[in-house]
Amino acid sequence: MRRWDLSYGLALLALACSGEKNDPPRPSGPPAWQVVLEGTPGALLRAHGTSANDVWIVGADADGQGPLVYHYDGQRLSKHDTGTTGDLWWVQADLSADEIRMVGERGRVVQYRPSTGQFSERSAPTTDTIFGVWGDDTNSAWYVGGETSANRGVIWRDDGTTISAPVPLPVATSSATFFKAQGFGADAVWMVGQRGRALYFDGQTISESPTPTFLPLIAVHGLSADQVYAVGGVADGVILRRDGQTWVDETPRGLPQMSGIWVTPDGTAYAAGFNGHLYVRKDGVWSEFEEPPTFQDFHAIWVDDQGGIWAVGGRLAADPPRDGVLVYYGPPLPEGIGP
Amino acid sequence: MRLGLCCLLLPLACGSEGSTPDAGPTPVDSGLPPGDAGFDQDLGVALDASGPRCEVGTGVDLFEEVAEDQVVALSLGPQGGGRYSGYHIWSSVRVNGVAPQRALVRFKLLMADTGTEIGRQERQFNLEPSGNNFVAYGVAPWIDDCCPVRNQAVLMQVELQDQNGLTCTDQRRVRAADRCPDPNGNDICP
Repeated sequence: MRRWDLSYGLALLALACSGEKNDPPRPSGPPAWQVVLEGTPGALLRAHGTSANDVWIVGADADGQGPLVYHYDGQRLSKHDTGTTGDLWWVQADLSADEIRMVGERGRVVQYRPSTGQFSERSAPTTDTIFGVWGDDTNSAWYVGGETSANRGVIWRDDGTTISAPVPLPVATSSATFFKAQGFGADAVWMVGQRGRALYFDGQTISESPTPTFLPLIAVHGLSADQVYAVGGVADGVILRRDGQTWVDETPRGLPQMSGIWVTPDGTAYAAGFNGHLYVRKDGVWSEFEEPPTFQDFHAIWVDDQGGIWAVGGRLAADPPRDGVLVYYGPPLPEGIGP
Repeated sequence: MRLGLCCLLLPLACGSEGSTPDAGPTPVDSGLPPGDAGFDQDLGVALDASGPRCEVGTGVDLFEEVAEDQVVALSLGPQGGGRYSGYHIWSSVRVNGVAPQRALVRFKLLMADTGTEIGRQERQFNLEPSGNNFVAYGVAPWIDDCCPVRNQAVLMQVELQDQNGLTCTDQRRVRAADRCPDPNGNDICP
């Protein structure tokens, strides 16, 4: 398999814009992997933002002191106290200009308003874990999750006031937990989960989309409803690509479990997973990053608007997940960013 | 560059018959008692005249010895397959006589009576120093189907290869717990 050439990263970063005029100066230097955080009590489960200077990171509550929530503003990484407890499995930072939404254990929905600096908590009517959230605005969000040991799933819709189950609830929720949702407008939402299950909401109904795998699908992302990737696995990994009407298995030979997927506007796809493995798909070929920055398991990956790659993870098989790690690929981050 | 994951298909030697507390790994096939292990800082190798020695154990946050026929828990990962590939037996290894950086470790779980492989995990580690030894812990070989494993004798096996090609193996016979617990501790199996 062809290995990913770091020169691609250089080119990608050189092509990217240099940021807004008011961005704080950053140290100069070639892009490289940087371990930003490691050994946090809880695993870090998602990084997502609106730009390279507005990045949110959430994670598990391994010590009972509350979930890990960090924000990077381009200059400093600050830790936030949500005032809640329980693991936070996912964050969506671009739901609206003034809301960051996080979801997690026991149906928790945590909202943060940058304008007030306040966190607030709501709950979906479930004790199950919500593993994923996606919305196209604050009044139209989807939550997916379930109880993995029972192979049972939950799907909820949030109109900003009420959190309720879609009617009819897909039959697949009786035999599969769902892990992530990703939409491309209010009438095009994908959801993926255990046993290779993939569901699609077309604005009216949720229908099942057969896939060529029985492995759990843990993450989904893409550029449009017809150009989407789903990744997952257990001991062995799987990468599926939606090619118009069908799912195509693009799993590279020897792929371990993948938990994170992100597709950049130019169509480049990045996948992250077990034991620090990172893959990139360019020109239709998946290849592996050389020299992983960690041997921990990655849970999620996100690429910012300047081409910086953010990946988070930890010891994900533990419950709660622990020993978190945040790595970044790009130009040197400011020294002493904290927290 | 990563070591090829396919290069660790090593023949498993017979496992040691258990270990005494604080004894460290016992030889797999030499039959010699543990020697005085030294540590060469230049080579990063814990040296011992009897060669690399592994001891398979359990533990999520540290290496814990496991005795023959000890009952071990079937643990549920928070995200995964549930009954099918969602459970594991925490596995760890204590080793000396190897280079600690980028060691490739494979854990396997087999039904003791048939030898059928029921779970596996292979990963790279920078092994942690622990006295005169190195350890890696918190490995979760996923079990294909948890329910048939309940209350059964299971072989825990480890194979380790360091970056210089030195290898060692070990195995223990343990007994799986009598339930595949849900988050409330109730057995999920029908």
